Amino acid sequence: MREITLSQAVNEAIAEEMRRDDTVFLIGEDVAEAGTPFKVLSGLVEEFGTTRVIDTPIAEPGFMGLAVGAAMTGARPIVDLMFGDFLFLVMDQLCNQAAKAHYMSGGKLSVPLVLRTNLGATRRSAAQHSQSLQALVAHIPGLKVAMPTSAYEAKGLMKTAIRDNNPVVIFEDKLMYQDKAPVPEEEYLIPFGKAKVLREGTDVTLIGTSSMRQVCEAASKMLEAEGISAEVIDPRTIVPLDEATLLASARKTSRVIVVDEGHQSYGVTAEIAARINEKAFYHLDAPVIRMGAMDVPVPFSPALEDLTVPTPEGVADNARKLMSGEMIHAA
Amino acid sequence: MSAAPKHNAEDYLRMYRQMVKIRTFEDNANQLYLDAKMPGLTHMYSGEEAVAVGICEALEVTDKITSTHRGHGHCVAKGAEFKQMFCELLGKEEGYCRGKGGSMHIADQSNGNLGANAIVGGSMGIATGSALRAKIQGANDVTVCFFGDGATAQGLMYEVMNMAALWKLPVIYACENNGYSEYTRTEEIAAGSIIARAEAFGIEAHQVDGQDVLAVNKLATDLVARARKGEGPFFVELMTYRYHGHHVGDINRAYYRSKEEETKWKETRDPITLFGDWLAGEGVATEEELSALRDAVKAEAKASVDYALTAPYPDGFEVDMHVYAETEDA
Amino acid sequence: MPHEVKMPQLGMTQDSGVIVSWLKTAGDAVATGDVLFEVETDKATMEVEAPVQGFLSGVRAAEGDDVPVGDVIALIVESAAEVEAGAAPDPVPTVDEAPPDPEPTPQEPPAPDPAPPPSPSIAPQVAGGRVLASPKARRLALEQGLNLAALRAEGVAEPIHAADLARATTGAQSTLTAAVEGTAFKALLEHSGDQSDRTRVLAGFVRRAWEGQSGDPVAVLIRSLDGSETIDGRDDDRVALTLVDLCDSRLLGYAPAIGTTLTVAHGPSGFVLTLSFAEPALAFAAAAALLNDIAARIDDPIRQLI
Repeated sequence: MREITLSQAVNEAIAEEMRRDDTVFLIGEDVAEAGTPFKVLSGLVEEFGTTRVIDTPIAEPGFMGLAVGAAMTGARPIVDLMFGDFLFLVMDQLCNQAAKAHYMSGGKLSVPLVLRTNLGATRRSAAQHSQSLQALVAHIPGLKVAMPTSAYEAKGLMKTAIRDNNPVVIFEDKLMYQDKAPVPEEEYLIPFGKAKVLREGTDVTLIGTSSMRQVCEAASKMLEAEGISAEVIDPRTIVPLDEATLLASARKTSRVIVVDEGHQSYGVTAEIAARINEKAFYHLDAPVIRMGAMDVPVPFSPALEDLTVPTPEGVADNARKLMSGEMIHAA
Repeated sequence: MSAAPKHNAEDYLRMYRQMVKIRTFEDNANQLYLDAKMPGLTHMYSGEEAVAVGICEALEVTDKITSTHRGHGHCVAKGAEFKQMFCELLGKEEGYCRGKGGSMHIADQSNGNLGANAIVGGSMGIATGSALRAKIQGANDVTVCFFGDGATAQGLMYEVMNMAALWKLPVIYACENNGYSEYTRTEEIAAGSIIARAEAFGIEAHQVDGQDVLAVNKLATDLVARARKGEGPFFVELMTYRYHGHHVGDINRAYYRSKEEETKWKETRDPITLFGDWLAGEGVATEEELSALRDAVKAEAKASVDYALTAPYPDGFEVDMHVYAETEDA
Repeated sequence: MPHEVKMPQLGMTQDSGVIVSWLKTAGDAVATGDVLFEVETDKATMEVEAPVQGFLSGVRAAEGDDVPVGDVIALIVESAAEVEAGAAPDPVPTVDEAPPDPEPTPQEPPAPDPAPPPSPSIAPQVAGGRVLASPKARRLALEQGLNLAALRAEGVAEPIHAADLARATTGAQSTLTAAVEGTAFKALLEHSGDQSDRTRVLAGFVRRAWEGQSGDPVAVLIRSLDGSETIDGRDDDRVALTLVDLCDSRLLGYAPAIGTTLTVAHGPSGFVLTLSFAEPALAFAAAAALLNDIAARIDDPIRQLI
């Protein structure tokens, strides 16, 4: 099978959906000729023109608001938010308007839009261009949240997001744009709320979102060499969350580590860990471990920044502790 | 009153009736609230009727509006029914939003009302986005964005007016200047001229007497027609007055405005009285006919209130319905 | 520290109580909840229970004494060695006479040195004696009738994990033995012509017998002589018992230290059944009824069809 980059996969997904449905349009800063700073959208304006690939002023709340209104009245906008950190700028339009319109109107209005943005540190971009804010939006009922872990996932999830009748936030890892993966030429969609078991194991479950999937997979290889069998799962979407697959794995292995690049406190890892604790408690042989980014603003210096995110070594180390029965975080 | 010769008697009477409906709706809502029969909080539109009616009478059903926390008037003017509105205010199943929105979130998409909004200025993006959609899709509907003078302090307004002007979107920004931003005089929160804000973006802006329904309607009719032809966006500042406090419980308000001022507006500038006098003077309707019309609206309102008071609440199982819209299998 | 036993206030207007009788005497071991003495208040005679476990000591109020509420009337000490003899004449111990504090003065633990990790025999004990064990270990212990406190006492380090259950040994296993002729069973097997069916048929007997006794469907873990294991029963049912079929060997019995295990062996005249189990998780009467039922089914396989 051919291999393409995550960037090309996103581009293909959007192009295919824009050909399929002429109510789909792109809006954001420098999405047209510039094709975004990451060049993800290059070429789309040539095919679809400036009425459907719309460059905006630098006004995130403004164009987010426009997308909500357009979505409410029959269009399917894809909003490009250049950096995930800018989510803070669009919170009212996303969380007070888009997320609630369907509910507040008793089902009369709906807001089928996609907000594509990114996450991920270690690009030396410092505290305002490196955050992973998925927990922030996953907390708001009415929003769906997808976290692709490869080019294949990015394409299938984007196509599903565009066809969904709700506001969907997709977080791409900005360090993965050039990562290649096999992506079929034929059309495919990836349903929301269906986790993918990437590797089966019996001793410990590693749940990894976005690029933390790669961290978990690398950790599982290290552990395999030591005779520890790790199961690796990609939740794909954190809202909706495929609880059944995660719980089944927890029951099987009795040990779980949840890895996500958002800050550890009050984060995605905490939510997943809590659900496993609540629903698979009597199958756990050790506490469910959260591994998120350190609770510090992302520092600039490479020497510091690299300390803030989970690593394969760190995941493997925690897995070993769980296997040896070492007491972790016990009072 | 401004002369508006192109209207026939039926149009005039419908405008009068719509204004009376709004006033009557608000009188009933106010009483429901004071009688502790209505939960939550609510904001009265009384005094501003000519704004909503003058504009909405210039719109088609397919045209869109976005509304505000003080939104009952826009909702009635855009064609909503009393029964579903009162049911919504009381949180009943038959309400426009099945009791999930309430006073501040009534939406009636069947008449193009994209919803009231409890965030001041929160609907400006939605209105402009609706206009962007119309432009992209080649639809010829126009969107009117209602907002108050208080919302001109929100940054979102400048972002979306900028884009609307750049892209010539069919949107009309209707600023209802009722003189007060919650409990504060407008002069204290708005520097400079309000219409100059729009003019800075090259948007054609007008100021109009918001108590004169014919003047409002004439201007709106003209601007809507031009917006349909791609000459938008437009900005209108409608000078009006809010009879009640910021919300129903805002009773002791002498600290920000005088009783004398309120009395003066009610006695000399009331939009319904002014238009009724004009209708009688022009021989469109006698005072007796207008009085009968008002009584009929009151009776309709009473029947709707009585209905809503005894109507059932939504079943508990609906609490987690409508969080997400259904998506048919792609 | 010794626990002071005081005259309790049991009624709103009560200011003293008369000791009616002591049910324990100095030096007696007492468990939490044991009745220590009876007291007569303004309302009634009531039994006063020991609030902690230990040994009764320093009894300083005799039967018939009227003692103000709140006064110390005895102590409960932690070890028999600390017991004070007889009723002390002094109602309140002076500093000099205070019983030795069994708890050493808090001090810094010895600095970690190259010594080996703490041996299991000094596994950490937590307040209240709660055994630290994973949720899974707790569930399995419950299902298998294992006593986690006994495991700890035998040196299994805390926190106890699922894997520790299999490693651990307990001395608390009970054994029941039965002998059956099983002529009809042998005939049945010969008729079917396949001796390898025997273990499965036995497992079926066990499951039916268990269900008959407890009402709950269960699965049986069949352990072969080569150590391999298979489950007999439905996926969802909990595994209640391990079955070891020794009939193809010279072995007669196998009683592992944990869990509930049934062995079936060829005896001098028929079959010997041995059930090893932990009381009281599986009570003697239930175990006896179960084993009898299984034996009866082997003796009369037709019964199985009923």
